[in-house]
Amino acid sequence: MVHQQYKTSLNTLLEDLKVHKESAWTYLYTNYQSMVISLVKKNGGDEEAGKEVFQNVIIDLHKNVERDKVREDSNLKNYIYTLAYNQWRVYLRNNKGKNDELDHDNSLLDESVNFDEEQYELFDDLSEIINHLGDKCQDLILSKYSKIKMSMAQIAEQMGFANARSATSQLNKCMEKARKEAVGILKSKGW
Amino acid sequence: MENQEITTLFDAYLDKTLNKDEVLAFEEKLNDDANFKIEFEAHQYLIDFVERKTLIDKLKQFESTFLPDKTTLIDDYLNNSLSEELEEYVQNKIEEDKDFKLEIDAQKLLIEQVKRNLLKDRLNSFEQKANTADIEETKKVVFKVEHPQEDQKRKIEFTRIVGIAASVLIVAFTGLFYLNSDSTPQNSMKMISEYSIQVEEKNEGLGFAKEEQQNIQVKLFMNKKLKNHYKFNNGVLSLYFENDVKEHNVNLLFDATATPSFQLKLDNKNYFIEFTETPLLLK
Repeated sequence: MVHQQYKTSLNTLLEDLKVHKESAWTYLYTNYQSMVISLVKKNGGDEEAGKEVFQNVIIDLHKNVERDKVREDSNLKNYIYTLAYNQWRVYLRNNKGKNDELDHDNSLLDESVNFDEEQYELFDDLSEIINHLGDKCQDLILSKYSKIKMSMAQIAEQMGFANARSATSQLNKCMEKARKEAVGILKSKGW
Repeated sequence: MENQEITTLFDAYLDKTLNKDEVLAFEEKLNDDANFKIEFEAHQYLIDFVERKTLIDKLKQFESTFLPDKTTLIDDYLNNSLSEELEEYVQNKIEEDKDFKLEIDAQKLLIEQVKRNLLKDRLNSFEQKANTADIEETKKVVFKVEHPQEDQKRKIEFTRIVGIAASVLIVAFTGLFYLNSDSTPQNSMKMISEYSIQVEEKNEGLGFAKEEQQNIQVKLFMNKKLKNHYKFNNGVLSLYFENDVKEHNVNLLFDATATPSFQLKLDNKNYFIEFTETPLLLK
């Protein structure tokens, strides 16, 4: 069974995560989701918040795998626990004004885990910027920058633009608007 | 540089499609122009965010196919019909989350209660049917009367037979339910003693006691779960006690005019008992 392979070889799991293999996700959900939910629930969150944190943990893990920031000798359980710990700590600080240490298992924290706290703090603001764009702008941006890479010609055809040039022109307008607001937020945070 | 062109430039830099000179010029501008730099960072954050959003949507889609809703998950867990992965998922969840364990217990109890209520409803409707049949049959008997006194006896007998039949069926239902549960009464059963007694007759009637079964075999058992219960069938009266005490005073009285017809005198206490293959509480 593929899960047995993951247990013995972190590298196999990381390689499968890179290509978004569902068996890798199944393994992560089966073995680690309850641990993350439990940590969140112990610290003032509910099950739904725990699930959301776990999704973000998987994404952070993906990103770190893509950037080769996960060592092959890492302890996956500790890695995931640390990502969840950091995410929930930042969430409580930003949304509840709480700066207390979390109720947690210190033996599971791994200080070598890469966590982009600054980026994390921007999520809510960036989400608002994107959500305030019109539907067409959102679709265009999602098509252009999501993981499945499409050429502007393909995007133009899919979205009904006359050609790649007019699709690019529209994308530039949308991104200019979004970027302008994002720059304002970065400046307000002392960048 | 026009703002609209900046997006294309940023994308080209990130996609590594600029030539060497263009890359140098771009990086020089990043160092010298603070506004250009912050705009490029904002662009990168936006792209990261969009990628993240796409992945979250994919994960949610995956979750909805991999994980059933909680009620189904618990149901399947209780029915032992989970896949290997989900079984492991539930075991991990139980270990990490005490509330989840409680939710499973609560759902189990609720299901049992629902089944119990359903069975009760079936029994009630069965009893109603039996009563209706009893009334109908009684009417028929009354209309046929030629010898009123004898037929009155028949009527009583018939009513009792229907009553006993109903009781036996109710007992069978209850017994079935009881035997299906985990608390099977045969656990740690120990016979204390066995002997024969003669049934005393209080009023002369139509029952079998006088004709066939004046002698009853009495069996005393020790069984904590079944204490104060009895069974009565095939001429054997089984009595269950909590302790291993051999000395018990047992008398059985048959009263044809009473329902139930048998009166058990056990250690100076009186109980009414009836035929039953499944243990019933003495009362």
